[in-house]
Parts: sequence; structure tokens; C-alpha cells
Amino acid sequence: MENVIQRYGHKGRGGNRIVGLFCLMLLLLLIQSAPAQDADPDQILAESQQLHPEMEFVKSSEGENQRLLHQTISLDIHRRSLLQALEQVAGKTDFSLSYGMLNIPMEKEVTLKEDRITVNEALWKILEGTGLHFAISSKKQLVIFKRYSPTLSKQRVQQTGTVAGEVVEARSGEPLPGANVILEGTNRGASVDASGEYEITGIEEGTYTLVARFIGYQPYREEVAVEADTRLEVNIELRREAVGLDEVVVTATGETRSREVGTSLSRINSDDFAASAASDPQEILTGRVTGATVLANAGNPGTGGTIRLRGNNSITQSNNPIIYVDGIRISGDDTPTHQASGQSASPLNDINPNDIESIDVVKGAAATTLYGTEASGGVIRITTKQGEAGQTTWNAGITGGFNNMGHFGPKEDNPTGLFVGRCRGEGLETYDGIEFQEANCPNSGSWLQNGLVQRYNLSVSSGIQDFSYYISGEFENEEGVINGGGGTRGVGFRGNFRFQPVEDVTITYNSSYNHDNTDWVPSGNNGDGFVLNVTRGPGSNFSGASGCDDPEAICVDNREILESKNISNREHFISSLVVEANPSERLQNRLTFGYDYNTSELESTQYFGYSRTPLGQQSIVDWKKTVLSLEYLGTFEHSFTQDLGLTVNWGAQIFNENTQTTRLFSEDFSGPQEPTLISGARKDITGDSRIEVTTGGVFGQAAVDINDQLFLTTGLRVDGHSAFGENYGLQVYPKVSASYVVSDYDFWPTSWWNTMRLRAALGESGQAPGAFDAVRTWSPIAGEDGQPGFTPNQIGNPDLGPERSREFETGFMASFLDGRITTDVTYYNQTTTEALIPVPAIPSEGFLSSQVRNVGELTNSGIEFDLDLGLLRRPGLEWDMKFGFSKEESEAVDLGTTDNIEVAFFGRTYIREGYPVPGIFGARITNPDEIADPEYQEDAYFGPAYPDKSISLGTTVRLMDNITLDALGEYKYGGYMVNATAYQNGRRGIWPPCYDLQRQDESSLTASQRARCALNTGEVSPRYDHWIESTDFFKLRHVSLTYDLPREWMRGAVKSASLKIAARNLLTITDYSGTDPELDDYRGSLARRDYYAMPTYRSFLATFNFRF
Amino acid sequence: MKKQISVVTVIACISVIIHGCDVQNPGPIEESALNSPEAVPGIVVGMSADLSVAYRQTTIWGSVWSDDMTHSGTYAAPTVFSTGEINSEDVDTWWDYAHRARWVAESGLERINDILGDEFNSSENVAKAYLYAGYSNRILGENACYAVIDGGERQDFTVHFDRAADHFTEAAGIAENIGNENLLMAAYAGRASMEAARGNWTAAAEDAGRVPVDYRFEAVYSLNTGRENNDWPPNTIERGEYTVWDTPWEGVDDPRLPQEVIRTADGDTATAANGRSPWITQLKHETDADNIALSKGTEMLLIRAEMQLRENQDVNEAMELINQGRSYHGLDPLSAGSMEEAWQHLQEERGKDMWLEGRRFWDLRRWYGESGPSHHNYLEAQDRCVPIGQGELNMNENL
Repeated sequence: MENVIQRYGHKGRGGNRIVGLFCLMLLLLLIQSAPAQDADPDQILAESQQLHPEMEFVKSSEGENQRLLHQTISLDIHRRSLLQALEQVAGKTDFSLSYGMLNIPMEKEVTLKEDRITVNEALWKILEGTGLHFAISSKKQLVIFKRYSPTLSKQRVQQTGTVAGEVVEARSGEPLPGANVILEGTNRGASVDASGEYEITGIEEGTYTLVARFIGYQPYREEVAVEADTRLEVNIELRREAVGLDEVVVTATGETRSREVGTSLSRINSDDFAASAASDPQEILTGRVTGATVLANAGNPGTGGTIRLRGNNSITQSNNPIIYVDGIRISGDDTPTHQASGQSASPLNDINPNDIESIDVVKGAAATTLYGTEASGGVIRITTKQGEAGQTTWNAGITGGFNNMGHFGPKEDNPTGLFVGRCRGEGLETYDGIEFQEANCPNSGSWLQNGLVQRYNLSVSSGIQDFSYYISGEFENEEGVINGGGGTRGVGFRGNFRFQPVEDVTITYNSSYNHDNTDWVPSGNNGDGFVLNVTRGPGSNFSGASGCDDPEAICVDNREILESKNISNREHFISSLVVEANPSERLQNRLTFGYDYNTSELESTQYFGYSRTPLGQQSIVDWKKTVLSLEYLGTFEHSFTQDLGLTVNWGAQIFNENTQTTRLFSEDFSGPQEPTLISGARKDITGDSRIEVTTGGVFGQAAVDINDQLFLTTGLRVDGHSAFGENYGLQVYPKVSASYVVSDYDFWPTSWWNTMRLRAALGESGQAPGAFDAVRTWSPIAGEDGQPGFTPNQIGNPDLGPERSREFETGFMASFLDGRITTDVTYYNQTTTEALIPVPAIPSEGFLSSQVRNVGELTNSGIEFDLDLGLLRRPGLEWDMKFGFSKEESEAVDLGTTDNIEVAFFGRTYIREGYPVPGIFGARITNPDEIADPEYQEDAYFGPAYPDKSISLGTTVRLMDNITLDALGEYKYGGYMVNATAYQNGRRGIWPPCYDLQRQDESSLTASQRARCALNTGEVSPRYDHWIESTDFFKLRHVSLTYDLPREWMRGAVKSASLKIAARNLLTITDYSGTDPELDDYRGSLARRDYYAMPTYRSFLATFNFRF
Repeated sequence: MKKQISVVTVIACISVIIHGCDVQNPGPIEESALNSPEAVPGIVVGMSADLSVAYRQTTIWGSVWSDDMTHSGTYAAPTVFSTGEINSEDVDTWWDYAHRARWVAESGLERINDILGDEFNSSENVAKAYLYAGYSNRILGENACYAVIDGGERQDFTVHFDRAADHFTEAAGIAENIGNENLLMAAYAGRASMEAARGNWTAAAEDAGRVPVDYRFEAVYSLNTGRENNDWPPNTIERGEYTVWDTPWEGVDDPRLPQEVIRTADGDTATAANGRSPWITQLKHETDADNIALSKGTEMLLIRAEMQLRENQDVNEAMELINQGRSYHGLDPLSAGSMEEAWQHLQEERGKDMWLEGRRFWDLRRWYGESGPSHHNYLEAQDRCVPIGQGELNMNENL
């Protein structure tokens, strides 16, 4: 039989091992023992080399190996298994043990007590009568294998054939090292190596069923006819099981099989997004995680988005999920918003998608209990790639393309694209015919351009038995869609290393560094904003310029805006060190150190001569944030019987976050030089904060495994936090969950209903208050022309603690018809008690800031539904579809001493008892279609501020095994927003969709028309409320066509190559009348608003990937 | 033994969690740090700074409540004020700032008293603190409909005048003790205005008579930080949020009413921020560093003149005092042949002399409530005092 080499120390669940070993014992009954002492060393060497061509074997009588084999050791082995005996010998030498798992007869007991015995003698004695032999590789591997008899071996050489090929992931074409390929009904098989290849030799002529398996993937079966002296090539593509019971997922206590987890977990593997041309993790998550809201916020390359998992759970604190990369916490906060754009960058997006192996998204308090305080917003865990022992693999990718805005603004009655799409020619006028000209409109006649995109990435991975590595680099240069402004450029490097210095100890060191420079288009609520001024036509703050042809027209020069400097420079360094020590198969220890370092310098400079500030000014924001992580995790597994197991986890974590933000300002330069802060005649430090927050927690979890079918888990987390009040002690978060694989029962109709897992969980997590919320403080200020003074700051609250979110979650996952239909359904109901509510101060008592108190209650419930369909499975044609639906319903049940919290007045955004968090309230026109002035229902509820329902639809079509068409669309609905751009421009008579109405006699218009297009000078007063609109939208997030080049085209070292053509955000369907329903210029707030923000754009990309 | 080790380990871990989480963040100052003699100067500068913030807000919004300026911008609250309504939901900013200034000064005095002990009555900082307490109460009394002290019940607004007068008296006593003439004049001037507000015109004139005509006590503004800025220039010179257009002062040639019509490139009158109103900017506060007077010698002359009209019905003496002030500004004297004429001159002179100094609303308010020649009808069709802020109404259980 063939030997499948497994690394010593392979871990697995006890239940699996028992079943596997039972099979092994049966197989071993068939094994003919051969007398070890008769072995011819050269014959053994030749056979071992034939069996394991990937290894280099050396004679045991030569060199270092001879010395090691003949060293004397003492042994005291009493009735131990053969494997344990071999382990003991290996443990006393420098050899590492490799063995064919199917070849170790477990029933054999070994007793050997010797004070002085050579290693060679000991091995022969232990293997005596087993038919097993050993050989030594050049890497000091002690390889145990089963010999063929010389005669049989020769016959096989003459009469047998070989099956070989490659096993890759179906979508991405990436190799799947570790997958197993066997010939069903025989004991022949092979393991797939790091380059994705396998080879099964010595197969007697005949017809077999070839089966390939890999955890998390659907099994592959194919009939193969093997002929003597023939090498049959069978290339295999495995497709992922959408809800595989044995798929490995990452939880707070490490990797585990999904069947053991009592909560819903969303996992995105690298092959899931390979076809999408996603440029960052935010784009990967968009539309792929049911229950997650990912909004882009703006259309400047480098902009970070908004991510919410199951909506907003906190009124005062961050609702951002916490982020883990390779087991350590990184900053989940965005950088400060840029002064000019009002947008910020997200450190999460520094992770190169090409480096990502998987992303696990943990939603809801029931699932995040062990993550403790700060985890109620959910957790995103990113795992990056590691090298594998075996052949060195290089991957390279080149992406080129362009970003394109398409039409700017609403399509109806807007031929000039709000003067951004067209800045020369017809139509540059107000509703009443006041004409204007752009003095420096680009030669193309439009401010819009196709922004070029270039991305290059290269990675190499490899390893030997005790050491592996993955190293990568990327370069990106992406231009925005505005001619002369916007874009980002960056480089990134990653080095992941894993080695095993001693037996049972594995050290993993992962490190990445990113540096990028982003040029921001001034936008948002900014008098120097590009969008604001261009769309206001003659009302631009840059009107009255010279350089226009038409003396009758008002001359504006908005080019000046883009000549100011609005950039950010960021660096991000992530480093993690994980030491795993597993002194026995039952006991595992993991110690993790993490360091996350972020810096960002935001600069906004208006040069000397800038018309709005003639002497110039410069504003700098320096931001630095570090996150230190230290975590210990212990795991103990014990099987009481074959059907009953227990896994206990315990651990402790300490996180320390330091955030430093310094704001500097300088103005009045003496000349037109490139200024620094010192260049200004007047300088000011406008802000400086240094905030340290420390969280510490211990946790424990016990999971009972009954027959590998029912899993009952209970856990507890105890936290302390530096932001808790001095009267507040530790916080305790409990949880309990169950997972029940009912489809494992014999009666289950697995022929068509393959798997069914029920799950339920109840758990708590928290959200800590702000760093200063608990303390009564005064602010240092200046008065009396620069003299130091104090003014009241925070009222403080010594009783302050975290808000607690308790969630009940239940659901099931099932698959049907050989995995052609899989579904995952979840219902959750979360209640946040002791919610941190900003209770306004009593002004006559001096302190004006709100006092944060644990007095509120919020609820949040919803359903999440995933359906994956394998619609077609025919030779040369496969068609899969993915469908996701989520609906969430939040409510502010109790706001303590108030029933109304204003979030953003101009965004008409409030939190009110009985309504979603937050909601949009304003004046609703009650007679919209009547020919009359508008009548209002004041303070009416419109809907939630964010979409609360989402439908995602994805499809993948594979043609002829090498063409893949992939598309993903997303419909997000239920949300409302104020189109403040239309309000501001409409009342000034410069919103083209209103022109026709504004030119008509008002008496002929309906109330709605009079209101929405009300002019400052009209009878009806313009109001933001008139522009509260639904933001329902459908966006085609991506569509791509991937062509895997035929293997026969490969030359030299190139093993595979593919070409992908992709478009992102190709299509938007919406009734929203602004520039983009996804916008938000209110960063850092629960509210969102469309106020002259840059809308998102489309991207057209071509990517050439090749592996060698 | 093993059990003991486990218990010790658990205790150690929990101890690390509890104590390891303690951090000391720089920046904001814990309140206990204020309880030292070294902190007293900073406490008093803080009072001054908060008074400047409150006064700045009073001068700007008060200009719309009164006839100082016409609102011509887009900001929400002044847009409502320009209709004549002054509603609780729109006045929180002013209410909050004014009460912070009052509370900081009054509670600061108690804190300083605890810190300084016997040295309290001989400290220049204490004299200043009393002045700031007095002027912050004056701001509230002159504008608010009701007084609310430290989360207490609704009281008559004149409570602020009483408190202010007491504070000024204390300030005068300490200033006299330490021989600080400047602070003493400020105390007299402040008390003169409060005695006048309480109707004690003889006492008011007595204090006013002690203050020289060129004396000024000012709220301090500076370019040093944004918080210290005088906010008039960005609101009137850089943006036309308020305009002199359509006020009694539009186009009046008087050095106390500096103004300028803003022109477009074509020479037309520019429109203000609302896109409609003609933009005539004020030039009294030309830079962000311009101080704003809290008390002036010229105001003292007008208090004395008003006393002559009220108590003695002496038109000549009143006009003599009014003309002393005009003479100080290089203006020709005025004459009056009747009480009505004298009152008109007095009311206009107060408007001009204290233009954009946050005092006009009180003058119009008190004159509206009178009959006879002192009656002024400007506030007839509008709200005549600032209601309790909505935030106070929402949170103060005593209201």
C-alpha cells in the first residue's frame, strides 16, 4: 500500500481519531509482516526513496545519521502502543517522526526496558513483527513505512499504473494542500502536496472510483480506468461546502469544527472572493455576510466605510466591530476624518486581500461573550496565509484598469451632471438664467476622468518540515475620478513564519507593514469643498475669478480648490507572535503577543495666494494608535468514553490601547513657498489628546461532546476596564449554547437531506464607556489673552459600568441533494440593558457636557437567511447561486431620564423611545399632490437612518472548467437620509432637477413640488425636511469573467495562469435623488447625511494572475 | 498544595485585571487638582474665559433680539429670532454659556475661599472673581425671563441683579483693600448698572459718578485660540450672517457705529448669507482679538443722565451729561427742549454708545415696560426676554 506521510503531532478531535484508528486496525489485519532483520539496507533505501520521492533519504550507515542511530539511549517502555514507543525513541534523539498513518498497528503493545541500547537496535526491536521498516531522510526524519516484498514490488512495477494530477479549489484554482485522494475500496491513496499535486502509484489494472476529500469541501468522485504502465492524469476541482459540518472556523478559543459551534458564524474563504476583484477587506465583506451592513461612505480612493454587524447596539459608544488579525486585536477605529474631505481611512483595509486565507465574522452577543467588554458590536477575525512544507510556490498578480464615475448626480433633468460632468458649454446656468463659466475647466470639458488603477502583488510560500513561510508584497496606485484630485498610492509587505523549534512547540510570527499616501478631494460640509463649489455654479466661493471668455457670465475658478493640498500619510504595522505548546494531545497551550501600530498624518494646506485665505494656512492632524495584546489560551480535551468527550478552555487577555491625536494649525505665510507649520506668522495647537484604555479579562469554557453529535457549551468571561467608574467592579458575561447534528442519526434521510444541524445560544457581551466618562474633570483652556485656565469638562459618574447586551440566538443549517442546496437560518433577539445614555446636564449647575449613565435599554432582533443553490452540474457547465436576506429591528425601549436624544439636527436624526436606533424624524407633507402650499405633520417618523433590510444575490457560472462568470448584487432597503445637497442647492436655484418647476408659476405646482424646489425668495420656506428620502438601492457590487489559461500553454516554471476581467459597482438602481444613497459625511456619529460628499464610482479592472 | 496554588493564581490574575486596568490619562484635569493655591489663578482665568464666551454669544444673539443688527444668515436659531420669537428650544446655547459663566464664578469663589482661608479678602484674584460673578449675573438678569440658580426653582429674573450687586460690592471691598483702582472702577461701574436695573437710580448715579469717562472694563478676546476669539468678524465681515441693513443705525454717520456696505465686483450691494438681504457689515469689531466692553465711563454718564431725567426731571443736566459723552467721542452736542426729546436722545445715545455690546435688549425691555416719555415700543411685536433653555426645562426637576 501507499504511505501517506503525516506530520507528527497531527491534531484532531478524539472522536475522529477513534473511528480512524478503528479502521486502521481492520486494515492492519491484512498486512503481511516481513522479518525486519532480513532487510537489505540498500533495498530499504531504494524503496523508501521510491515511496517518498519528495524526500531525500540517506544510508543509515553514513554520516550524522550513523552517529545518531548508534547513540545509546535508555528506554523504559511498558505496555505502550507502537506509536507511543516510537515517539519515546524519537523524543530521545534529534530525529523527528514521520509515519504513514494507516500503517501503524495500534493493537500492538510494546514493552522494552533497556538502560543502554542503540537507537538502531531499539527501532528494530520495536518494529519487529510489524512488517514495518524505517528509513532516515536527509532532514533527520525518521520515516516509518511498509515494505513491499521484492517479488511483489517488481510485479507491480511491471503491471501497475499511476493516477496523478492536481487538486485545486474550484473557484480560485488555488491548490489545496492536505486534501486526500484515494481509490475507493482499496488502500491506495495520496495526500496533496503544497503545490496541489498528488500521485498514486502501483495501481493494478482495473476500474476504480477516485475520491478526493478535504475538510470544508464537497467530496469529489470520478470513475477512472487504470491501465498497466500508464500514467493517468486526473485533475480535480473541489468546491466548498457552504455549510459543511466539519468546516474549520475560528472562534475565541481557536479553531474548531462548525458542527461544534452553537451560534451562527459567517466565514469567507479566499476562494469565495477571488473572483470579485476586491481591493480591500471592506469590499470583500460587502454583500457577502448576511446581517452585516457595509456602506462605502464616499467615492475617494482610500476612503474607509461603515461596517455594522446586526445594526447599532450602542447609542454613545462605538458600534464598530472589533478586529482580530492572526489572533491579535488591531484598531477597529478609523483614522480621524480628514479636514477637507470629512472622510477617514480604515486600518482594516490595510490587509491585502491576496494575503487573506479567511475572514470569520462573529455577530451578536451570544457569539462574542468570550471576547468580553467592547465586543457587542461583533468581531471580525482575519486569518492570513501560511506557507506549507513542500515545493516553493510563487503567486503573482497584475491588475490594471480604471475608475469611472459615470453620470454624476440624479439622472433626471441633470444633463450637466451638476456641472461636475460638464463644466463647459450649454447648460451652465441657474434656474433663472444666470450664466457662469469655469475659468479652468479641464480640456475634456468635464471635471470627471477615468482614474487609472494599477496593482501589483507577489507572494512566495514554502517550507520544510519544521519551518514554513509566506512572504508577500504589494504596490497600488489608484487615481480618483476627478481630474486633478483624489487618489491613493501604497505599498505593503507581509512575512508569516512558522517553525517548530522543539517537538510539541510551534511558534508563528506574522508581521505586516503598509504605507500609503492618499490625496483627498475636498468635499462634504466644507466651504472649500470641490463638490460644494462646483455644484453651486455661480454661487461658488470661487466666483469673481478672471480667465473666462464670456464677459457676461459669472466667472468661477474651482480649479483652485484642487491646487490646495489635502493628503494623508499612513503607516500600519501589525506584528503577532503565537507560541503553541502542546505537551500532550490532550493539553494545548497558546500564548499570543500582539502589537498594532497605526500612524496617520492628515494635512490640509491652502497655499499663499489662495483666494479664500490669501496668506495661506495649513492644518495638520497627527494621529497615532497602538494596540498591545497579550493572551493566553489553554485547552484540555478528554474523552470519557468513545461517545463522550469534554473540552475545557481557559485563558486571559489584556489589551492596552493608546491613542494620541494632535491638531496643529498655522496661517499667514510670508511667501509662496511650500510651507511647514513654522511658515505661518500665527500658529496654534488646536487639540491634543492622549488616551489610554486597558481591558483585562479571564475566561473559561467547557464543551461537552456527546457522540460527536450534540455539543453543549457553557462559558464565562470576567472583565475589568480602565473606563469603568471607581465604584464599579468586575463585569461578568456568561453564555451557554448547544449544537445538535440531528442528521447523524441513522434514521435521517441523508440520501436527499444530507445534513441538519440545530443550534441555540444565549450569551452576553458588553461595550465599555469612554475613557473619561467616569471621571469628573475640567478642561485646560486659555483666557485673558493666552493665560492658562480651567473650564468644566466631564461631570463624571463613579458608578459607571459597561452596557450589557444579552442575546438569544437560534437557527439551523441544512444541506440537501448532495449539497446542491444548503441553507442557514438564524433568528436573534438582543437586549442591551444598562445602556450608556448621555443624560444632559442641568445647565444652571455649570457642567454642559452630558453625563453618561447606565440607564437605557435597547432591543435588536432580526432574522438572517442564506441559501446556496447548485443549479446545474453538467460536464462543462456548472451554475451556482447564492441568496441572502436579513432583516433587523431595533428599538430604543428606555432612554432613562429623556425620551429623545438628538443625534444630528441637520440630519434630522434622533433616538426616541419606541423607534429604531437611530431614526429619521421631520416634517412630512400631508398634502403632497394637492395644488396648494404644503401642509405638514411636524416631527413625523420616516424610518431608520440605516437600511434595516438587505437582499444579496450572487451567481457563479463555470464553463468548460476554465471560464468563470461571477456576479454579486446587493439590495439594501429601509433606510432614510437627508439629501442636504439638494436642499442647499435647490433653495439657491442651482439644482437642475428643480429648474423646470422653479421656472413655472408656483400656483400650478403641487405642495410637494413647491416644497422640494422652494427658493429662498419664494412663498414656501425651504426646509431640510423636504429632502428626507428613502435610500433604497440595488448595486451590482461586482461582475467578473475569469479565464484559466490551458495548462498546455504554460511555459517554463509557470504552473497556472488566469485572466480576470471585472467591474465593480457597475450598476446602481435607486429612486434616491441625490448623488449616491450610500453616502455619509457625518463620520464618527450615529447619523449619516449626504452633504456634498463625493459619490462612489465604478471600477473596471483586468487582473492577470499566475503561479509558478 | 495544588489547590492553594490554583487559588493564588486566580487571585493574582484577578488582581492584574483590576489593577492592571488602572490608567492615568493626561489632558483633562481631575477636579481634586483644582483644590490648591497654585490652581487659583487658573480658576479665575477660567471664569474670565467663560464670561467672554457667554458675553460674545449675548452680543451676537442679543443684536437680533434688539435693534442692533438684522439677521441675514442661515443659522437656525437666529432665523427664528428674526421672526420675533425667542423660544426655549432655540436659546440653549446662550442659556448654557451664561449659566456656566455664573456657576464657574460663584462656585469658584467658594472653592477659592476654602483654599485661601484668611487670605481670601486680600486677593486680587478674588476681586476679579467677584467681578466675573457680577457680570455673568448681569448678563442673565438683563436678558433672561427667569432666574434659575444651581438647578433650583424658577425665580424672578431680578434675583440676578441682586446677586450681581452683592458680588460687585464684595469686589469693590477687596479692590479697595488691596488698592487696585482698576478693579475698583470695574466694581463701581458694574454695581452702577445693577443699581440702575433695580431702580435705585440715586445709588446708581453715585457709583457711576466715581468712574472716569475714559474707563473701560472689557471681556477679553484674543487670536490666541479659537475659544478666545471675538466671533463678530467671521459672522459679519467674512460672512453676512448679520447686517446693519434695516436697523436704526444703518447709514448713521457716527464713530460709534462703524459700518460698510459690501460691494460685488460690479459695484452692486452684495447680498448677505441668506442670499436676499443687503450686506452691510459692522466694523466695530474688526478683528477676532477685539475686546468687548462690559462697562465704560461713557455708559456711566448715560446712567447719570437717566437718573437726572427719572429722579429730577432735569433735562438740561441730563443733556449736559449726554453731551460729555458725545464730546468724548468728538461729536457735536445735542439739545433737547422737552422730556420727550431728552428721553429720545438718551435712548439713542445708549444704543449708539453700547452698540453690539449686548446691552440693548435690556434697555428696550425695560423701556417697553414703562409709560410716559421713557416708553420704547420696539419690542411691541416680539418676545421681550429669553426663556429658560429647553435643556434646563428638560432636566431640572424643580421647574
